[in-house]
Amino acid sequence: MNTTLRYRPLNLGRWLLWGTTALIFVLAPLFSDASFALTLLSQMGILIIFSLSYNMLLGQSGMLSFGHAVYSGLGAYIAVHALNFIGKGTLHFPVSLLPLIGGCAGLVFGSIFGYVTTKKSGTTFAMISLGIGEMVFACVLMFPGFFGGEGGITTNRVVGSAVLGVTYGPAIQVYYLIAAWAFICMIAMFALTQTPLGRMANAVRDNPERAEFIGYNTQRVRYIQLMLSAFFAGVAGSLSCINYEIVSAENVSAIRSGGVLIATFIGGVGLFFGPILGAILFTLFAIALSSFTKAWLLYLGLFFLLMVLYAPGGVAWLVAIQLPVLRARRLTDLLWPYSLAILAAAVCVIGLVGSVEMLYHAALESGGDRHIQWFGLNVDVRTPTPWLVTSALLLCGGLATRYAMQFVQRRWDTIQLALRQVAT
Amino acid sequence: MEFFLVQLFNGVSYGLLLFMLSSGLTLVFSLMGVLNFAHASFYMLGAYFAFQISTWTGFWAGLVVAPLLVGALGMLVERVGLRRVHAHGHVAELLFTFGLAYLIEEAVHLIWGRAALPYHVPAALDGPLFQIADSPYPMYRVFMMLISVSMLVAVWLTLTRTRIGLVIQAALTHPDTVQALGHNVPRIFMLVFGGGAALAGLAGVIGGAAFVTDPSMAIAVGPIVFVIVVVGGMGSLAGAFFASLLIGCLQTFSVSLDWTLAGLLTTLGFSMGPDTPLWSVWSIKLSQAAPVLPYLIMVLMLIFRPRGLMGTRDE
Amino acid sequence: MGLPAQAQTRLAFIDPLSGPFALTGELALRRLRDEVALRNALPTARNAWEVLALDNKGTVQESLIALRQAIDQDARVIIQGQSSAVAHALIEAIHRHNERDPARAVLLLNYAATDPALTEARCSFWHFRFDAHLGMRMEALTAHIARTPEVKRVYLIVQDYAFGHEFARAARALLALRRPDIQIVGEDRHALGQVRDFAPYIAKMRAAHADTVLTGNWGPDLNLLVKAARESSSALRFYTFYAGSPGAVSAMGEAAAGRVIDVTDWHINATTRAEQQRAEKFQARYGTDYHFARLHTLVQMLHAATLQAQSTHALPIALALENRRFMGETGEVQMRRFDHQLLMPLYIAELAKREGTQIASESSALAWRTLQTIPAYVATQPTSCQLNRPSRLQ
Repeated sequence: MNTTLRYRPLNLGRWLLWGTTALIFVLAPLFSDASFALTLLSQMGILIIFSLSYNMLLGQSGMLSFGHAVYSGLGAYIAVHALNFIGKGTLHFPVSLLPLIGGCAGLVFGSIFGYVTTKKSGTTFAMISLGIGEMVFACVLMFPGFFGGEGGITTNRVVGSAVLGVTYGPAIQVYYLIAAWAFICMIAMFALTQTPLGRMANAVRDNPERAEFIGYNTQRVRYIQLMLSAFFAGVAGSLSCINYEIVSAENVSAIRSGGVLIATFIGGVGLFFGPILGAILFTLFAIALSSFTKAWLLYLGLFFLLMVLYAPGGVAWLVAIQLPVLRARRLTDLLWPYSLAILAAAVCVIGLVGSVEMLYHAALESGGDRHIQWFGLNVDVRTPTPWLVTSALLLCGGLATRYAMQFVQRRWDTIQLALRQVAT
Repeated sequence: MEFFLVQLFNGVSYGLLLFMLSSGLTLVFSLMGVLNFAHASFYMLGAYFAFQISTWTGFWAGLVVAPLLVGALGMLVERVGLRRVHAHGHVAELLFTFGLAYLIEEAVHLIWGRAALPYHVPAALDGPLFQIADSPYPMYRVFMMLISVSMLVAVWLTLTRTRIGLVIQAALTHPDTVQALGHNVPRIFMLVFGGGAALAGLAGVIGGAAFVTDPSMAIAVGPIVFVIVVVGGMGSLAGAFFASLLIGCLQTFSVSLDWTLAGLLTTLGFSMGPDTPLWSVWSIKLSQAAPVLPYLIMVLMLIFRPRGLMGTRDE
Repeated sequence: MGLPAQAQTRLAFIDPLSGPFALTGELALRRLRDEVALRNALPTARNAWEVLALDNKGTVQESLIALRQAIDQDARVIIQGQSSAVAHALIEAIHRHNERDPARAVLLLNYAATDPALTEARCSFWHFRFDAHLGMRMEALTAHIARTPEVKRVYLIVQDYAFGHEFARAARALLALRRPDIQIVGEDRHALGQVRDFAPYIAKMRAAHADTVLTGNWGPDLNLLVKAARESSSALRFYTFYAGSPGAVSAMGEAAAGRVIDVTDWHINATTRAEQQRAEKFQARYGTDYHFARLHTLVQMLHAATLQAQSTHALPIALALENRRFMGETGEVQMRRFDHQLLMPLYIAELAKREGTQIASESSALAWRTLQTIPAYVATQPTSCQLNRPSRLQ
């Protein structure tokens, strides 16, 4: 197998990329002094690890799991017990390395459940993972002795003596712990994609029969990949245990599993950095948008569906396909069609948001205040005019988007053709 | 004996309802390879449509119209969405239906509100039909069984005895040949998907009245239906039938049994008590574990017979 | 302290406002807004209060984020109730925050989370509960059963999680004390929200010859149970704590008539005519029933405490809330100083066909009627709470 080893010149681009990532992690908290921003960043960091670990299944091995929260959640439960033991003094272990314990717990549970789930692939795997998730969730509630029942298990992360002044009392210290772990995990998971195992996982995803024919046991590849992925999920779980100082049943719930699936997919499963993007987008969606509108779940669902239908590679893919065009300095050709499409889509979105907000208002505030304030506009939801306006915007915007996209497509095809001719 | 009979009836009727739910899913899966995550959402829509219709014209119109509406919606979904993602493979289709389930739930919240609806058993079917010794047995349960058995027969006859059924069966294995013979395969798929959705809708009409019609009803039955399809063997209608009955009866009978692992071990000569390590695991009663038993069966099935009860493919 | 002017005016409401648990959160928010408007119209109200609604999506983690948001936006009073898990988490977080940042200390006013531990083993000085907890409700329920000789054979059915286990334990303990002659003929625990078909459970109850069922079930688990009982024409009577929660009456429908008895702190037919009129106005406006009457008590008591404290800080307000009495719509209530639990009268109410001037529930033909009023002292339980008073007070 020595043939895979070869000399490579220093990859400057890669060093630059990782360096910038590290720099962003270090500098991010300096932009805002609100404690809320720090909470948001910490959550993003945790979700980045979690969705990257999820993508080890979905993106790299083609396993669609509906129960990934099982591993992060059970990892978090083990971590919280370990942290409480550290607090009582029965266990001597640095808090900074607690994610290792959670990760190992994830690995153990991954090896138990994974043995069953990875027997199948594709859609059957998806169903089984859902069933396992349901079972674990029900059991967590059934054994309050270990899982703390409804209230969950609380803990205190400020334990033991301070190492170099780090107590993990202030949220900023916790953020940097999360950032450090997120960075390490990113590198580790990226490195894994470069190993023979990572490549084999791709082969098993793309053509299991052929992989089998070459002599690989596809089931074993899936199994190992799932265990490793469960390890990183466990790391994410223990970080959330340190961050929130509580672990409850919701950590293993189907909602959590669905969330990481949506985050990963929106970001993009085909590229390594996709899930990172997805984690950031999802956190913003869930927290920022939900403070503006009750309909955020609907928007999230719609956005997800649109991505599945029109951009199955996620946001990362949308960005990545622009790169060759940019490199060939042809992006200016697309400027005009893109602006048209964005404008048309914006009209459509305004119409949609207007209709949905009025619907929510009419349905959930029925009989209450029937007016909505929109940017100084006082809208009465019981008169037909605003409904007509928003529906017209939605319809016209939708049609215009359709035409604009056809325009984009034509231009796109021409450029691609030209690029291909240059290449040959 | 009386107790046993009552529980047997309960188990069979619940199993038949589960079958009504899982048959549509299995049918769509076996013909199109599509695992419809939104299947349970169609079940929910069936109940909501039926409620809406019943407020205007009564239960019986809902029983007929609601499944048709759900079926039409299913066809629309197939035509507009599913067909587009088909090219990206089965996982993409599953993701699409997953997103759809999300969206349907939010839409139901929006249109009918978040609370449970007052959708109940109609007066004509309310009350006991016959007595098992001292226990009256409800008419609606019998009605449920009748509907699902007649549905089973109808589906089977359609698939085996009608022209369209034969074409569907042919399209399952040799879509290209069927297409070459001049049949419109995409349209067949659309019909099948709509039919599956309609079956779920029918189950919703029946189940919504017997149980509770609220926005959580889809999530509550979704996983169990998937378990049935796995246990029965992916894509096998007969397997789904036996798995539904098995799980229905198993859940029902295990409710009546207060056995524990501790009791079993004690009769085997071990001494067990609240001080034994892991006592909370040993002292779980079978009745307590009843709701998670289907998942356990699924796990056992995967270990010992990965193809399921009547599955043909080992994957 | 140079606090911003709005520091005294913001009440942060942290409960689910989207997703599967949003129903009760939304109703409570509506009611809270209504109550705050009522309070703002009082002549003693010197400044207007404002409700800051924060959606926690029913999860603990989002609640902690919402708490951060609330503190960032200068809210000093947090109002929460829909989950005991969230309440526990908020209490821990608030406790830590108040120690680190006493100038911006916040209070948690809990209007519905009923885990007894919140005012027992895990009680906190910064937490006040305005709802009767499980133990109090069980005291009231068993006091009623003590006077109901028809109850002879009791069956317990609970959801298999901490609350259900506690319900079953408390029921056994108190029944043994108050009615030792009662036989408990069975106990079932079932996974939360996993059971669709309760017919086998009903058959089991019938086989055990039970006449009465005590259940801690809520939501679909309660509605399904009652519907299954009706379906199999059984004459079982159900004693519950949650049949009065939003949506339950319409979900159970006729099945509940004469079959369901609830332990509650309030119902529409037990209140004054004035409040009934407010309820009717509320219903005409929003199309939903009037729930969470304790939010009225909560807002009024907070208002009175703020007046007495002459301050916008959490600590003086908390001290002014302690031992405070209030003449509510249903009688006098008092905030106990030892554990910050509101002591209140409770009602045993039965759901039956509406008669006479009774007001129906959720536009059905059913109405609640009081079987027995349980005075506050009967339902009161001793507490083991050792409040962690801030060090400055000791």
